[in-house]
Amino acid sequence: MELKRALRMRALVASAAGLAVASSGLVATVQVLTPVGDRWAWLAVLIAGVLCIMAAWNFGELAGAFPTAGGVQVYVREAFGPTLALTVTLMYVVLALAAGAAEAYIFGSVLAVAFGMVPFLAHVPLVVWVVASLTFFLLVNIRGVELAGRVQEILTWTMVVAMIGMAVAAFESGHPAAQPAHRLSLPGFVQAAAYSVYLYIGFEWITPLAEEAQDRLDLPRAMPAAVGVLALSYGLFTTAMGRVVPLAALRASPTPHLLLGQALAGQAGLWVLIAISALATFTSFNAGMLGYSRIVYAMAREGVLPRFLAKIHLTYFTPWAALVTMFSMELVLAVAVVYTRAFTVPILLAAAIEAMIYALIAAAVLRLRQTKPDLERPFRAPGGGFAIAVTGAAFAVLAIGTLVPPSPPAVSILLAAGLLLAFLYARYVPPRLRNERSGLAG
Amino acid sequence: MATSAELKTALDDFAARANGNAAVRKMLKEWSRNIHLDCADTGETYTLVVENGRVTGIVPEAKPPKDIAIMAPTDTLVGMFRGQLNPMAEFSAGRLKFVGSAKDEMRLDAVVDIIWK
Repeated sequence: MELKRALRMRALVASAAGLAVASSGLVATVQVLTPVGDRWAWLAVLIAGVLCIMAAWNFGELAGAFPTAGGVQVYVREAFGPTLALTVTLMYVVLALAAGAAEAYIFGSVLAVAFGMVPFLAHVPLVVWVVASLTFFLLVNIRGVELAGRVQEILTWTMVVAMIGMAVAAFESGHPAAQPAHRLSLPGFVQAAAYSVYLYIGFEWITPLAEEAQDRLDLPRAMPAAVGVLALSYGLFTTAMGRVVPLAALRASPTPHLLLGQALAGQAGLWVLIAISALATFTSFNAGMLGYSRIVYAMAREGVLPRFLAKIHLTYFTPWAALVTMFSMELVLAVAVVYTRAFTVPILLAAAIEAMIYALIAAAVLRLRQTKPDLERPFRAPGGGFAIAVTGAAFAVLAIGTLVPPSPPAVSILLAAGLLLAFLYARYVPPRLRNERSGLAG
Repeated sequence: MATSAELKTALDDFAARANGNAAVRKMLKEWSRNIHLDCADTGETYTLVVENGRVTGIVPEAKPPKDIAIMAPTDTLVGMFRGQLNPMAEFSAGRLKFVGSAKDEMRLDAVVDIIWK
């Protein structure tokens, strides 16, 4: 592979992996550990990773056939029509809100630990740190500050190496096992794999880059490579965390990943994990907030969301109205999480939505192969229709796995409400908005 | 299918509207770009030359440097510059491709929105 193309591939892999690694992902690993223990957590993460690689191939086929910045919305529209496409896009926004609220809560908790060591900041309420971190990212995004591609790449690889390094240090430390061997059950393993889906959320957000790719095969190769990097990093990190820190302590803490650092190397280890957490939040949250606000902006410009969401800041040229609206909703959710401490709810909600979308994407590939067999496909998802169908079915099972007990009932309730509202909105509102804009009778 | 002459007429009209709109001029103050318009169906390229916020030229070729590239069928480009097509809808549907910075993308979309509101 020539050097230039190798460098570009590395940048794409870093982008995809960087979007997925988040502080809330580091915390979600505890949900993976709970049903299966440290002995089998790596396998649940790996199985979810294999399925995500198959999902990445599906995305790769669709991105090659439709190299557009529209991404999932275009793929679903081509396969199933505009109503379902808009429903899915709105559910992606719900996913972003849920993941954003979880990330704000957890990063705010990390800040509370970090600054809690400063005497005059030790008693600042957690809600202040959560609001401060969300506000910081809002202002950064309104200002239009984006990490340069090279900086993003360096930060992502630094983070991945640090996660793997911490895990290796844990294994080498000779630390006695923190909990007894876990009895493995099939339902527990399926649930652990379902929770693991959250760890990979975001790798497919690089599909809008398809139209910039000089080689159409770059993207279908980069996404599975990124999933592989995530599987290795998260698999090792999760196992290390479960081996060193008692599960009860991990479950009780909003910052369980910091406990690993502390257990391994005291204050120094704590600061290493704080740094990893900060990198994880910066590389995922910043890009995520701006990315989703642009989706909301685009929908408002297209006429499927209220027009005020298309307002642009005329100095920074950023979609400030969409950003402020997303921020407001995330703030409400994040504050609710602070006072209920139910941070697993948004995490599991995001995992459920993502699993459903991956299942739908598999269905879209199969449908388009039937309805548009002559479409140019530079890349075809390997394994044939059967493999794609199995991928879709597996993600459907994993989606259910995120909803059944011991998942809180709030996850199912919020998912059902979100789906119903999104579908009803997609079905009935855009025609009314378009009629209003054209001045016709409603 | 739209012709080159129709595209040139649409671009001339758009340039006149942009240069005559105070809000657009204020928004684009000190902004200079060569915007390449690539007709995906005919292979032709036009360059909109923007200097300090004003369209100063429409060149029937690819004038370097290529600061921004917009690629679409001629019909789509004509419809967009006549205000008949929503560029964001075309972009989301994959009928229009944009290569350039995200800020420039927003800036141009804002210009189109202001002119054709």
